[in-house]
Amino acid sequence: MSNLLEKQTSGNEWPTPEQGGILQPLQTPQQPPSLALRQQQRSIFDNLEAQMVRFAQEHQESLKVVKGFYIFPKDSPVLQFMNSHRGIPQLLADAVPHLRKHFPQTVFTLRSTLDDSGSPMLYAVALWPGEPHDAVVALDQFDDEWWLANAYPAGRFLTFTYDLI
Amino acid sequence: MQELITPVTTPISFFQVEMDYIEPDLRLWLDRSNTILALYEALKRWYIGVDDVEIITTGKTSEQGVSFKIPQKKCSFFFGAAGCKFTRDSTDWETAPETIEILHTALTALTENTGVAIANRKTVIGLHIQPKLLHFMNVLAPLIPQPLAGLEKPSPESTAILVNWGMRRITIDASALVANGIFLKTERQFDTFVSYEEIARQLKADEDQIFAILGVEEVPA
Repeated sequence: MSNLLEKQTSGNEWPTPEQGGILQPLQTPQQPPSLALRQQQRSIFDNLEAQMVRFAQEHQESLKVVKGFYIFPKDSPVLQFMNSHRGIPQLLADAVPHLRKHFPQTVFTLRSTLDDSGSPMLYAVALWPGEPHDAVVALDQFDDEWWLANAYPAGRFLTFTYDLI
Repeated sequence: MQELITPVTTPISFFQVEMDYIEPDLRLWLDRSNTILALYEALKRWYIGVDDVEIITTGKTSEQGVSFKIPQKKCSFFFGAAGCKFTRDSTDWETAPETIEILHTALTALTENTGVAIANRKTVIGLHIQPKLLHFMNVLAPLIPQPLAGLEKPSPESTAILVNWGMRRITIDASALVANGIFLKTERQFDTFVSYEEIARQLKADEDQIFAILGVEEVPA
């Protein structure tokens, strides 16, 4: 969203730390089966590993979109939540154009809490500088136009709301 | 100067200093094995490995050379036939002494091994600051001259400012990397006789000046 052609980074790429053990379950030692079975297993694992690498890339791409719109601290439980609920980042990314439409020039933050039963919940919170009634109207329009049709199934862990500032 | 202070965090930052040699040395393009060894030895204490050394063979001749990366410190040092460049990412004022130490080590290894003399030091600080409560245009809007802002009915969605004084330049723009972010770039050129400490003092003062004009204050993440 920058306006000038100036480079906004140093140009260096630093590898992100491993998220931990996506492929580790495939690395435990096993008894050697017969050759045919080994070949079949190898092809299944090859395909599975390729799929998991692709899933990890898609997840990172969704996270990039989320980080470009929603504010949350770097090492917060929010990131942990999104890594353990893989459907949420894409949902948050898909919500962006609709939130921009109904909440123009509004800052959105992400907050992770536990509900009454101890289950984690994620809140996407609009920091609303205006009247509460207007925030409620905007939320209703957002719900009717997009959220209600797209909330299931990942959306049971996600709530869009507002805070007055 | 804005009266209301807006808290901001700085999720992304970088510091860079680019140094031209007084005279280019083509030997550094043709035969630089001893220089690579000297720099590798000097930077070893920060746990660099063979894979952290990269030979750059693309681009113009002045852009070709050798780059050393120090992953633990998110630093890199590049040298070529016409100049060298030091970069540190995710940097702040608390790590400034360490940054100076790494830069000085790399530069000393280079100059002592090759005999090149540095002509100037062009510093760049890039900050992506993120207002926590206000939309970023609330921070930038006061910088837009009213006759321009008033040309259309709705408020401007974004703006960018670039001011150049020759030895100093300031860029303010919307951030392309951070939600609700503002990108600040301050550049200043120093002569070689200015100490690192004086450079750090001046750059800190430059940053404080811009923060005061924007009416922002950095808070912990």
